[in-house]
Amino acid sequence: MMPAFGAAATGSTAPDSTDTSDADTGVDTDTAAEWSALGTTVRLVVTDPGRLALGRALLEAELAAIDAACSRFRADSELRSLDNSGGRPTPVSPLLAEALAVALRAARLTAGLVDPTVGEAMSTIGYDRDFALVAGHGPALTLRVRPVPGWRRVSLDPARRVVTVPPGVRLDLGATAKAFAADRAADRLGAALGCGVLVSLGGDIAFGGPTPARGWVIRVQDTPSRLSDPPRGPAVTVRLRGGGLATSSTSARRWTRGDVMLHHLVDPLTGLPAASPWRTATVHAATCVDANTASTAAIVRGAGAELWLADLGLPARLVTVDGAVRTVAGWPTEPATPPLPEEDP
Amino acid sequence: MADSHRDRPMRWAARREDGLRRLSALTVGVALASAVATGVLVVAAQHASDKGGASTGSGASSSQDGLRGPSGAPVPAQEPPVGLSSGS
Repeated sequence: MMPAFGAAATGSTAPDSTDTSDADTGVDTDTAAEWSALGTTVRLVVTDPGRLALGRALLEAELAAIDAACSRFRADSELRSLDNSGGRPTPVSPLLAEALAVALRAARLTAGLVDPTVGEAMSTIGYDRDFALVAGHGPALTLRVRPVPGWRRVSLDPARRVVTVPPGVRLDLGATAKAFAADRAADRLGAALGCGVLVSLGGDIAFGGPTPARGWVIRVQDTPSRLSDPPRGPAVTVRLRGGGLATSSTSARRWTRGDVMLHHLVDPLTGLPAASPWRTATVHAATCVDANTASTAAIVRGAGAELWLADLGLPARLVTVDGAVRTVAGWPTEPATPPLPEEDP
Repeated sequence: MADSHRDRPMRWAARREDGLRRLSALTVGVALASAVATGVLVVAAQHASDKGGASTGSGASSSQDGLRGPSGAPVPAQEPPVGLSSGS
């Protein structure tokens, strides 16, 4: 197996004779670790092998704190306690206040395309528990077009850390919380470890510490898989020198009810999975939060996404439902690849 | 009664006072209009900021609070990747 990290850290493209990659996971165990948290795959890469163990411990603690504050699926999470707040102003922790501020900012900057009040809509379409526990198939659902309550109904006083959620409004921070966690963890680990750090949470990627001489090399693709597996569908490998990278896709986290395929990217205007010409959007931005906000909004926005991203100056790669790749704002072009075959979720 | 040389200074003084009053009123009017225009501009700028003004060009943003671009675009790479960004 080729080294997973050595090439980017040293600027060399030659195989590393001391490679200790795990044959099953594609993880260079000297410089990278991979595990599950927040209902997704966590990947930590460091440029100094001697700092990996400490980095993992710090990241695990960060993610545990995020989960306790922001999880929609944990009955004991701080976010869930807001469901029963009855519309009363409720003090929240600094961490949840920051996560809510990030979610509301994403809503404001996308004119509500990325809206944290989709919690009830998510449950209605069947995504009401950790995704690993959502049945891939189930009986048909009766779904109605119904706009979500809307982010403007949520009030946050960031100075006092008090939030007011109207009765019946359920929050879901899934669109921004992982990216927020990646940015926050990458910053903290980079400072604590004193080396280059890559934090990937289900493909939402942030970098911390000094950038490796030749940057960070990342593969972008539609579907979740191990890095050691060959990609399904169109994929590209790119080099980045910082900022954040995020991919949103209707090819992941999808399930069927009756004969209808559903996915987790809800259009706030309908409360239903977005009907988009794009199945995947990848965006590079100054932060992972901004990248993820834009990639999610691009899917929901649909046909106007290319112009919107170009106007914002955000390099992006969009994949149509037919597998055609479109690039904007400086994202490198790539040769055409065969379409991704459909398969059961 | 015919105009007399004795009355002229008084009439000139009255006219001067009247002119100064008009000038003063005009100055106040201009100042008020300027203040109103400034207020309108401030409100308009705030409104644009609330809408998260669009960024222009890679890495540049016209708003303090818009979605911010990276310092450089991605470039193709041939090396083995260290990270994977996919739908999740």
